[in-house]
Amino acid sequence: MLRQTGNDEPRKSTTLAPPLPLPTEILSLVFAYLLDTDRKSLARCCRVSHSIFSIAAPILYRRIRISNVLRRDSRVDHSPDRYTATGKEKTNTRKKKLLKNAEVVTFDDHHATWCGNKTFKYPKLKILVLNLALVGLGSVLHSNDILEKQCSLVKCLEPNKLVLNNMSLINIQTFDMFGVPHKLFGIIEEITLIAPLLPGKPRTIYGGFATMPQLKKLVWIFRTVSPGPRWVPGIHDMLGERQMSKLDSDLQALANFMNGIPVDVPTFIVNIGSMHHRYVGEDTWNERRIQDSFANKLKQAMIAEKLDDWRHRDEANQLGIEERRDIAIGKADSIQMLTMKEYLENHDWTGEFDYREAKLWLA
Amino acid sequence: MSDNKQKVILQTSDDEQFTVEKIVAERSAMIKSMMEDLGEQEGQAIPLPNVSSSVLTKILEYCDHHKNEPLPAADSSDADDSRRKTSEIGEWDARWIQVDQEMLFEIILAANYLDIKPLLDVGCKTVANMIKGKTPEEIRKLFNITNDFTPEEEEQIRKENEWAEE
Repeated sequence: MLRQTGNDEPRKSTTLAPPLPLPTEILSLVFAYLLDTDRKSLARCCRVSHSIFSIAAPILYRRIRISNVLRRDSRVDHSPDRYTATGKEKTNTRKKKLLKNAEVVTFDDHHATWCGNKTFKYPKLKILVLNLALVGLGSVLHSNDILEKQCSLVKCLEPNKLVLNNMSLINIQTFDMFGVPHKLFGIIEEITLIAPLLPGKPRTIYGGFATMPQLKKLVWIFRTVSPGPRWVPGIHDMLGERQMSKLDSDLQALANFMNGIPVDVPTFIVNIGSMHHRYVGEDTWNERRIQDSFANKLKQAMIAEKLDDWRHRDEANQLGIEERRDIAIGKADSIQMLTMKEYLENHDWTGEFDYREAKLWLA
Repeated sequence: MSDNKQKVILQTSDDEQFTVEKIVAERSAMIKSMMEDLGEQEGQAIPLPNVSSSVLTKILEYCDHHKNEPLPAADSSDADDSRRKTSEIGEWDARWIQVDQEMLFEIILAANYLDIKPLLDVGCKTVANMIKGKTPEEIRKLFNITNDFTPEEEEQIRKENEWAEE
């Protein structure tokens, strides 16, 4: 059993560091490329020498996953203090330092003991990924106002971009119970919602997020299910229940959500063309045609929703029917429908897909 | 464009002069901006004190092959970055970069100095591909690096980064 020294990496002050094969900035580019394509090899680079470690390790820690589900397993536990079956291990200051390099942090869930841990710090955090799939095992983060203010972990999370993985329409109203803190919606500039590969039973939900005053981009990705992450006709039926009768209610929920997004926030819907052609009244497996038909259906649903007096009482008092119709049409027409390939080729999808999956789509 | 036939003279570290088509030389953002600074001063050689003639010969081959492709924007966006990351090394590039390690490193250094982004990319990807699948000891051998970790230190780092080696 090895002792955790708790020290910074030992330095040999008397001997000069061996020369590097290439300048630091170029090795950084090489390692950044390895992070995307072969993380395993990057992890092995960390063991080559002190000087290589000092370049490779901070890059390796740019993307980490924090999970309590398997918290006894070092592979997924990146809390600065490690918890074991018997209690707390000594803090490893080297690791603590490395964790500050995290730019993309994925959470599967939250553990109560993390709240009091003042050592969490992610000054470079850009993208926060919340995995809503494991929700049965506890909330991802605190969304309760009081807990949120007390939790050291939530306090240090200030991402520019929020990725909600395995997001179904039902989550929109009930994100609170899944533990997505209000605070995060207030500061994010980009949000990506990824529909689950294998959804549960979605229901029509009217709701929305807390306001997102900084929002500059919104992406909703309908991820297709097996046999493989490729465009396969008819594999997707919006939220998984393979019944035509569900389309209208799901569509209505999406329309309601989209009406709530300001018209000047660029909005993208990705891979909707993978729906079964029957759902949108098409008779061929043509991705583009399915996509266009869906766009038209969504637009009609958005207009209908906007004109619902009961749901828009305030607006109904101030604006005429034509004005409200124009607002809905304006937003609907601004939504860009993209194929997965178009999206992956032209947008920054860091934190949303792993490299291998993206490659399959791009092939 | 008639402009494309214009020539420019490049002078390497070993004092050799290369007369190159402007469109080829412009692959280098560094040379491009120098040409813009020099303006219409015809016949004046652009000194490249960090590039030897053998490396420049090789690099000009690359620039000539790619001369008709669009130049990457000076301030490439994140989307460009992620696109570049996923793209494999092209067939021609892969064959072209089959050189010994010393030459490979010199090409990378020159690409960095001359600011030829796509070439720097190809070089870094090639080095990354050399590392892939190798053990730490094999990586040391590959780059002639001495191991200054004690076996205990190395094992500790292995354990700490186990999560990434799955």
